[in-house]
Amino acid sequence: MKNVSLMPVTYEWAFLEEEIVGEEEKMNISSNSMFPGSVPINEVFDILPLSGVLEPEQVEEVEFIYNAQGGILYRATAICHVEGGPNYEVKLEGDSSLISGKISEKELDFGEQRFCEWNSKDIYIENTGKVTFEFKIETDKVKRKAFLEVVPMSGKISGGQKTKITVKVCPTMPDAFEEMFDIQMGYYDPETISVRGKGVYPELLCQFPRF
Amino acid sequence: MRKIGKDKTKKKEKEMKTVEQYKQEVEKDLDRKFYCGLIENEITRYIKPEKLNANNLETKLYENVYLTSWICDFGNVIVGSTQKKVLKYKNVGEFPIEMAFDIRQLKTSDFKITPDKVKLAPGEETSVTVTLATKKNTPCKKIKNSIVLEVKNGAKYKLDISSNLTVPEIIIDGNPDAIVDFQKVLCGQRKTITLRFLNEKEVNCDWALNIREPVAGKNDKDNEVKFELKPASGRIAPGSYQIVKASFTPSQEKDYVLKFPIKIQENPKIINL
Repeated sequence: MKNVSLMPVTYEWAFLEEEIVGEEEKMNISSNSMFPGSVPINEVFDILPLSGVLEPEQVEEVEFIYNAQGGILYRATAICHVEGGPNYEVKLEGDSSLISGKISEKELDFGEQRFCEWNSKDIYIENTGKVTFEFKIETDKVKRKAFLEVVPMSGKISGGQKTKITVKVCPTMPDAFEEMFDIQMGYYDPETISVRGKGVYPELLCQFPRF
Repeated sequence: MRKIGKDKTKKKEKEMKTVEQYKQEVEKDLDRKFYCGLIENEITRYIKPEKLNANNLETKLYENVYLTSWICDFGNVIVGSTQKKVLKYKNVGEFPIEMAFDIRQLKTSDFKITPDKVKLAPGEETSVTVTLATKKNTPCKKIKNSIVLEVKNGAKYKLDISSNLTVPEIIIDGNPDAIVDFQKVLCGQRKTITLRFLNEKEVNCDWALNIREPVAGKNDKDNEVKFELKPASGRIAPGSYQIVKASFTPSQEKDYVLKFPIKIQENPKIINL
């Protein structure tokens, strides 16, 4: 904001009440508590500094703050009243969304595979919301860590996008196996993915005595 | 009645097959669990399991893991002879087997394995022959080779083949030089000395007095038998002995020096008594 006049300017910001609009999102909203009228606009948008004096040619930064509220799109008009001068309008619009994601499969069954071979399966993490979130893979629960690989182990997914996660496993021995690992999306509790299968091998017998 | 009898035998045949199959199932499962145990030990023993990956898993982890070792012992084998043993292998799993013996070690050995590479379909059986062919001048000793049998995408096994190479031999008890001295004997009289032929080797010893070869003697004009050996042949079990009587009946007053060649079967050496 710059004072381009020859005299000091006193200003004050306010919101145009009639112009406050909040539109509900279709998903993830409980309609009862999210009507626009129930939330004061100054809890949604904030302006700093709210008022002040600018000397001629002085430049000041104005910070517009948006506090995202429960998945609702807010539009408002902020007006800067200049004492003895015109009003200036700034249109504000802010949208928010809950972090929302889903995993394509939570149970991976590799079936029978050669015990010393690596096999892989892909799963997808989809961001069904609008907000980018980070995901992280936790392999603490994996018993044989060297024989289960998940790629990538972390990342970010933009709203509406999906990321491929490749799970590679090697049974190591001719026996049934079951492993678990967690996927954490955003701040939500981790989701557990179970991986199971059975190692097999060619079986040979000889009638001679053994050592 | 006959029909009932046939049904019973058929049932018995079915039962026998089932028991046989059951034994195989048990053996297969024991093998599998044992193999899993061996691999677990190897994983825990491995210092940095995180370093194992798809590229080096097979070479590093399973390098020293052998499911089992089979023993093929030829026992006592006489030098110069050839012995064979047949091993039967069966594919009792659901996958085809490609098995190969690592016969590089046998290049300098008297053992041979044929065939050294076999493919077996599920349920198929094969025979592998191990041959021990010794040459005549091979020294007597114990020989052993441990051959690796590798199944492609499967377990590794060992085959331990061994033998004790030996030669039948007689020792005359208390008489290492095989000299029997009858000393002074009255002409016309017979003196008999009892000898003990000992077999200290591990195989039977078949011996015989070789009377076809001329008995060395000086001016022996008459064909009268002066020295006699009773019995003139025999078989001595390993670790056992045989009493042999050597008798001398001189007809003239002189010194007699005679040689009795005793031939031992499969031993090129001849003992001259």
